[in-house]
Amino acid sequence: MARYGMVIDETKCVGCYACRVACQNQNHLRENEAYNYLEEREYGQFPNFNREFLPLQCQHCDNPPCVAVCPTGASQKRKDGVVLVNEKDCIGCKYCIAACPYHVRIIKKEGYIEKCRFCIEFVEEGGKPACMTTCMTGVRLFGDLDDPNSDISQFVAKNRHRLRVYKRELNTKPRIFYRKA
Amino acid sequence: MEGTIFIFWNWMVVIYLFVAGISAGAFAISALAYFLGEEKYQDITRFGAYIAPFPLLFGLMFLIYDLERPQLFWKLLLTLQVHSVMSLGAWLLVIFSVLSFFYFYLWLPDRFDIVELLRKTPQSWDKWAIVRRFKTHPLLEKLHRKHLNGFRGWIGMVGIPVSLLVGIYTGVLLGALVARPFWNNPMLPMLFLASALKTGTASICLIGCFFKGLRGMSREQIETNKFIIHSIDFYLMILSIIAILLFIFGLYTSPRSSVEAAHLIMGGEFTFLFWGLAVVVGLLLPLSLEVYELIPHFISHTAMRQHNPWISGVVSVSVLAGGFILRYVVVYAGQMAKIVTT
Repeated sequence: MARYGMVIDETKCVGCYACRVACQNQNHLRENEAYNYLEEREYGQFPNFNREFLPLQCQHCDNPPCVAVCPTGASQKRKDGVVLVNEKDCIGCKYCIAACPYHVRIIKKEGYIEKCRFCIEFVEEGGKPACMTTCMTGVRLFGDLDDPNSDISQFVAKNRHRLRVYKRELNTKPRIFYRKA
Repeated sequence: MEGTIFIFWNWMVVIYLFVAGISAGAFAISALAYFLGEEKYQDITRFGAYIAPFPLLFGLMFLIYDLERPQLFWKLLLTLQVHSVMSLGAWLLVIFSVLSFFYFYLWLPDRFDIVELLRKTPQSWDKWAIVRRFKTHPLLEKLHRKHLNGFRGWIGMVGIPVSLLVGIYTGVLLGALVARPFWNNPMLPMLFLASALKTGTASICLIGCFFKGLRGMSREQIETNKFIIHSIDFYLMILSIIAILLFIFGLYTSPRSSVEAAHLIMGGEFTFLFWGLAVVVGLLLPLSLEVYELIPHFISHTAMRQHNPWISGVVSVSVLAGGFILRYVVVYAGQMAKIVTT
């Protein structure tokens, strides 16, 4: 069984928002709905300062708080590690929105809760997520963490000391690893 | 590090949390009064039992309407997710509703006995055999109120822990979320429980004083009831003040996110609502009125003051208002507070 994960190289992101638009196309989202976000930050003090972009989407946690709190079992984690919402069972109580520390869940107009799905239908046919393939600087790497020959496994092996996960203190064990400069 | 932060639970959830507290509190106080003095405090027990089921029923309508898909709410009752406080709470509410309606029925005046009412169906209906069979069925006789009244104590005994759990659950629902630093505080359920019991007491007091009125009650009766209801309220006030102080203490002694969340009520957006309305109007004002009423009686054992319905009225209305504003502040501030990371 595959164990899907993603690496995001923060140092490469230029903030063009192509991933957001590609995601909206891929998932047929409305213009005010999005599954990924870019946080723009400024750091340092003049004259030594810079700007950085932080791409953010569902972290597909190994210990997902949204799955634990779901009262109907609509929010679930698949065996391959992808966290999905079963839209048939979702009653829209919004408890998972409250539980998500990354604030990536949105309410769809149809009344269920949705967020990044790792483009799983596409990936199962052998494709890659839209946010990864569209990126002109190659910020994202998606693949099977259990396959030692996959791009992502090799990248992780090489950059292990530079990778980190966000909000680690909450013990959510995200599947998205960020490479810091 | 945030995606999108928005207010997803609005005033409907605030109302639900508030009225669920009233229901739980009214039931618990009613059963407590029953065990303190079966005959002596019967009025309190009766009013508590009459109040208990209805605020919750009203709140459940809001709760269901607040869902994005209200038509699918029944899915909550087809499954039990042991890790989800909301799922556990849904089942708890089912149990509580059944108990409180049964308790309500047991305390209704005898003329509402359902067996007698069934027997009063029009004569013309007797032409159907099924109606005749039903009316003369021996089981119906067993359901007569005079056989059921013995259950009052049992329902009260089971009901106290269940109603306390309902009061606690509303706090645990919010407190269980690590992602929300303002809510993720062990004192929050305690704060909600104390507030629930207080609002329950206040609603009994209010309904007792104003809707039923005091006509036909002897001075002695009024004083006994007033004394016990204000004493219970007084202890709960003290408990609430401690809970509020410890709640804020808890926010300040937790990691940075909680400290920043505490700023929402300590100088931030909700300062006036929290300190001015929830604490001063909802706690200190009724507390001082109760001190005025009770302390001379407690300390120098003088007779109670002449009953002044205005004092009891102001106490109960301000407690109810304070309880509502407390829920409002907690629900809204909790959604604005976020985890701060480097």
